[in-house]
Parts: sequence; structure tokens; C-alpha cells
Amino acid sequence: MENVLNEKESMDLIVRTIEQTRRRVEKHAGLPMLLFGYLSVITSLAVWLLISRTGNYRYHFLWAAVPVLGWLLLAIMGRNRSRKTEAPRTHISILITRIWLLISGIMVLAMVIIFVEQAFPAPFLFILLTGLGVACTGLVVKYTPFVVCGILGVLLSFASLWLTGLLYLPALALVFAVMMVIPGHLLQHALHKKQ
Amino acid sequence: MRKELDPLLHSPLRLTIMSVLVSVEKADFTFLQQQTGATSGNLSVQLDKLSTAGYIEIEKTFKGKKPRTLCRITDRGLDAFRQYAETLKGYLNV
Repeated sequence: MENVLNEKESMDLIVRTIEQTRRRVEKHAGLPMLLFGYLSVITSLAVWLLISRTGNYRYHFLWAAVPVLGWLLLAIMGRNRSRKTEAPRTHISILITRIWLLISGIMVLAMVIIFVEQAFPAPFLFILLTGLGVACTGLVVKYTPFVVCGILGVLLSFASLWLTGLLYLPALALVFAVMMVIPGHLLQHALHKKQ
Repeated sequence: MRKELDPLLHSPLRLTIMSVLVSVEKADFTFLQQQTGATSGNLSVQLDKLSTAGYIEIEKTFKGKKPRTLCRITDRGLDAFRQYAETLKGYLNV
């Protein structure tokens, strides 16, 4: 004979199980933001240093490393984790991955356009798209620091239109740190505390 | 008159399995075992019952040389789970 639950026990069990599953699966939810954040900060600084020392604008090709290395490292990390824990993906994490794949695709397209039309306002577009991605992620996972930092990024993207010379490169590093690295660490810290 | 609760879902283990599967794309047997704390035998029996009712799909694959059982909630299972939760809310007046 099976145990039978009363109505309140059933409701408690549903809420508890969904919450436990979400916590277990989203233990590393801040990692993609940190990975792309650090890669963007390092690339901005590297491109700035290399161009200001050599004057060779071809070092802008290094930007391609952000999406390529980012998705590659993310895939490797995901595979290693699933080997260890067998943790599945939640519907929310699938939606967020699709948002970022779309944003990455537009960024790669923008990189191609920059080499054809050099007057294209690339820093503005990159900061705007990243800010929108961070804000959307925050709205989906209901995490306020992502929403705030994402909106701040969107506002800063317009400010970048007034930057001249190579000054936009260290500014980009700073904006990526504010938009992605700081909220990414805040989320990781919050998730570790919850575990 | 109040609706009856779905007897297939009104069991602790089957309800736990469905609550896990409603949150994720798909889950393998090991993950379900860790989340439910059930024995392999009991979990297999309950998964079969849910699969026979069309509430979940079971896919047998291999990961390397090891066999792997993946479970996914179906649209029918999702409807049944939603209906069950709605009925519960009615009982609890929430």
C-alpha cells in the first residue's frame, strides 16, 4: 500500500522539490556571465595596449576571441560538470542560452561589418547588446543586480558615442566589468550562500 | 462538487518525480534517484507507471559504454500536473 499525502503535504512537496531542483541545477548560474565578462575585459585591455604601442589596428581581430573562446570554454565546462553531477538544464537556462546565442550572432555580424565600414559605431553596439542581454537575463531569473547593471550598460552605450581616440577601449573594459563581472560574482556569492 | 485529485500523481514518489521533471528539459535516472532518494527498483516501477500513463517519455541511450535512462515530461504529463496543482489550490483555498 502506497503512502497517501494530504493536500497540504502534496503542495509542500511540489514547492520543495521544484526549489531543490532549481538550486541544484543553477549552482553555477553566474559562471557564463563571469567567463564572458572576464574575456571581454581582458580583450579590451589587450587590444588597447597592443594598438596604442604598435599603431596596428589589425589587433581588433582579437575581438573574435570573445565569442569563440567563450562558447568553447562554456561547452567544455558544461561537459565536465555533466560528467560529474549529471545535472540537467532547466527551461530557464535554455532560454538564457538562446538569448545569448542570438546576441553573440549579432555581434559576430557586427564584427564583419566593421571591417567593411570602419565608421560603424562598434563600441556603442557591443555595449548596448551586452547591456540588453544582461538586463534580459536578470528579468528572466528575477535577479535585480543583473537588471540594474544591464540597464546601466544600456545607458553607458550611449555615452560611448562621445568617446574619441583609443579611449573607448579602456572604457569598454570598465563597462564590461560593471555589467558582467561584478553582478556575476554577486550571483555566485548568493548561490554559494544558499547551498 | 470538488474535483478528484489524479490518483497517479497523488503518491509521494511519483509527485516528486513529476515536480523534478516539470523544472528541467530532461533528467537521467541517476539525477532522479539523487533528487527523490528512492531505491533503483522503486524508482523504475514508478517511472514505468508514469510512462504507461503517457505522462513521461523514457529514452534508453548510452553514455560511453554505460547505459543511460533519460526521462522527459510529455505535454499530457504537463497538463495533468497543472490540473493536479490547480485542484490542490482549490482544496487549500490558495
